[in-house]
Amino acid sequence: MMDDFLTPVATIRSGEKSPIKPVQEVKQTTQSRNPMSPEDALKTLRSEPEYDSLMSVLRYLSRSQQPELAGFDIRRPSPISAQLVQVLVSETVPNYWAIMKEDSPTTKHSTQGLLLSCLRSITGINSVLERLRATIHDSARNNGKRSHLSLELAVLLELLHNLLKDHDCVLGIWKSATAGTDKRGRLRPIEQELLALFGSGKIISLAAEAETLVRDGSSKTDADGYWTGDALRYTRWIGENIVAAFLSESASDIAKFFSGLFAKALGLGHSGK
Amino acid sequence: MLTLYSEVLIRKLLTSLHLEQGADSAKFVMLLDGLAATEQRKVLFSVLKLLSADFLDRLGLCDSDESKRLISAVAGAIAPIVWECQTRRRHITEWLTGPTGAGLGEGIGIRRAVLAVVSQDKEAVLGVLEKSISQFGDQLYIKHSPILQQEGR
Repeated sequence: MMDDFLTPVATIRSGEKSPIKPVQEVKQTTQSRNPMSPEDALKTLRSEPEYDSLMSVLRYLSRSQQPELAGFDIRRPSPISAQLVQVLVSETVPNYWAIMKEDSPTTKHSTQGLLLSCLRSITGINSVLERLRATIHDSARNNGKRSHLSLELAVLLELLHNLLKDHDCVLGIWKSATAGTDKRGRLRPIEQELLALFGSGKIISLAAEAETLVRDGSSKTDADGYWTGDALRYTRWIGENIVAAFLSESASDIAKFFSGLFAKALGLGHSGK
Repeated sequence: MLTLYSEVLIRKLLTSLHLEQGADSAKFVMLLDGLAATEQRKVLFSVLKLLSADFLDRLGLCDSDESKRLISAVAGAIAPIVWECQTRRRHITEWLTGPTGAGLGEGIGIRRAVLAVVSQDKEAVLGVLEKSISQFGDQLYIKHSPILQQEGR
């Protein structure tokens, strides 16, 4: 009697499964279209793409970092790369970060890894910081929708942390920002920008403020894993980055800049709070 | 003068680029060379302070075989970073004798180590001696300088 009762339920379940499959197949057919240009990639990103086409856009954008591809590099300042970075930070990250995390670990070629390599630049990090600043501001203004905002803050913090975590991060950003600029005059403003970004308390103070809001907003705190808002750990990180730069083979080219960063970072205790 | 953060930073760079086994001191020299003169001085004095705190502070006043070994090791660590550079040699000479005494208040061990480095250069050590002797003759100095600094001489 019991058996009779159970069987129909099982049938219904198998019936529920079937409508899902066709949807997945549709996704796969749209995937094949690859972006043809940075502008094309921008259009795709703005139109809430399927996960698969997002992936091919990211793959395209990070592949364009190889010099043989038309000279476009999302990590070098240009109007189009600024727009791309802006969309990535303000739309792609909030919408897809969680899925990306589930999808694969942060290896170089995972979706998340591709996204990170597109954003690991002066423009990228500045725009993450800008977004953090804006979200902190919003969150301070309306306490009502706090949980949603603190979720976004948590995502941004995690993003920032992942962008910066390697010890050759600053060296890598210096290299990609200065690639192809042999004139001292062009180099200086870029280096000044890098000094202002990493040598000041800017990252620390924004991250610390965001961490506080995240902690207040949610009961579970994985915020302990972040170090960007901790001045002492940030200082250690800067130290590691300077060491990595001097131990690299390009030490003689970068010595001047990293000595400057060292000098600036010596004042870290004083700036900030 | 030395905040917690700058201490952490300088110690990290000093260790990884200079003191650590297999480290290439030329890298640390490169780091110093890239700094402006006043910063160089500040960092150099901080380095002496850290070396003193990390290796020499527990020696005390008595002269043991171990203290000799440690002091010459520290002198050996200071020498390569000041040797090639006139400015930095002048800085450590000044550290020993300066009236405001950057080295003032530091232990005797580090003073002996720095003197050992300076003494590689005859003229510099003569300068130090002259300065020290004139300070010894100075009543005001005797009355007002910490006993520790006087003992160091």
